[in-house]
Amino acid sequence: MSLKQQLLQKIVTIPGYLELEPVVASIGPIPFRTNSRRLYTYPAIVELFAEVHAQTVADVTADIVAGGVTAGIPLALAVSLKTRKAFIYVRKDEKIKGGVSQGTIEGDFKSGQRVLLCDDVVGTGETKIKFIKHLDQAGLQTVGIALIMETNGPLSPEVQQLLDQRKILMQAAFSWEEVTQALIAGGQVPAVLAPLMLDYVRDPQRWRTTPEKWQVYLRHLRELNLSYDDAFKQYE
Amino acid sequence: MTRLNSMNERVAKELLFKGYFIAGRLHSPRIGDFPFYPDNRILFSNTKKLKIVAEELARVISPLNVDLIASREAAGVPFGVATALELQSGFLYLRKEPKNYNVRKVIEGSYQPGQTVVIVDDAISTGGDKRKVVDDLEAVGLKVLGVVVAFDAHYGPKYAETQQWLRAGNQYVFQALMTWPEIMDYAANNNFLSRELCDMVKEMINDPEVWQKSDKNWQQFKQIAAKEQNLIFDQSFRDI
Repeated sequence: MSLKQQLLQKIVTIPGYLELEPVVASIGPIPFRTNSRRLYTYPAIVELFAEVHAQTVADVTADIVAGGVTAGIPLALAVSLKTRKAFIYVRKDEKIKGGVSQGTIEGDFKSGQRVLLCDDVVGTGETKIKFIKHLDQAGLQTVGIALIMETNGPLSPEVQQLLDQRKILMQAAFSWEEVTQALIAGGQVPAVLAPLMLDYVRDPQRWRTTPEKWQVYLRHLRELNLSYDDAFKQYE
Repeated sequence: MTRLNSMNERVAKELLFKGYFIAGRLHSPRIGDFPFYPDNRILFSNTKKLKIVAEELARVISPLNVDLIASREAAGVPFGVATALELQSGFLYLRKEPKNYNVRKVIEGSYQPGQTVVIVDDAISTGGDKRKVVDDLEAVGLKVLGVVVAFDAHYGPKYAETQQWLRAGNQYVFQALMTWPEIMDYAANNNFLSRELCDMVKEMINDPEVWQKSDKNWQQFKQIAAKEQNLIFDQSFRDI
């Protein structure tokens, strides 16, 4: 079994990794999600991630590994320890403490260094742009992005353009569809929800804006005796 | 529980490098203005040094046979992760603010009520945020065994009172790899910094709020510090 397959097998059996209740996320209401923070409780998984992306460090010849605050920090740190490349972390927004700016980056680095940015997932990529801009300001050159999973956000045109123009390699260990297929194959998904979930991860934007999809999904949740927040009653 | 061990010399040795000790007029929201500051965050950028710190933190925690390591975002997380990997134990992190989903949770990771947890951080100052972390973990049914940090600011008696729950009680283990006064003595004894400077910093640590009110202290500090070879001078040093 390849490293990635080993990693995927371990991830999909984490209790509570798949959260079937709908939530309101930054992009709007979503029917279910995967909780990548749960991975961090399993050292073997964090180390497998680091092994997978040690290759990405080599591919982009990075000098330094940056974690996006906060979910990216455990991943970046594991990659740093594995590859012996220095670790830093980068915030989404400038931190102000007692009226004094603490900047956006913590750690030791030199201007001109090549950075591999680590994070758990990518959606539309807006957060990644923020990280990259902060790294730019510090004189660091973002050459790659290492992720657990790519969700079919989709990437905003602005983000896609930036990645293309600057030839930033975005390397996710898995697509959301691969993860979903593995969750289904591993028996982690109620059979009745499987087709709806696959449909979702292939085109989340269309799914979210189709009332019939919500109606069917929420009906199945009720039939499975799974609860959801009152805020979703309007989609019934 | 009182601190039983003395300074961890293996870690202390790693701190005597140019870049760790910073001089300037640095602001802390809790304590006010500082003339001198050890930059514990810079440690995580050096994998060799971080590994040594994590190994030593793990050595302290290992006898507790703990299920989970927890750290508060963001600066504590690299130290917590490195220590958890060293121990091969699970890791949780705590948000400063709950995430803006309808599930407003502070603790991220997998855990079950009844599991034991040790809080790992780079440093402890007045201990206020540690209390919050302990409370958050206990609120979900986790059993907090204690707090283990690399660096203990170890301010004077005035600051100890609010930390009695951790430092003097029997409920939690508290361990640090070193205190700030200890590392100052260590730096002076190894001729990394002058004895004069280190004694002045130690005096400041004893009561920073009183120290910082005296212009004479600042002037004297500036004069002594300017002669040091192994200090990093923040831009604010000029404004002293």
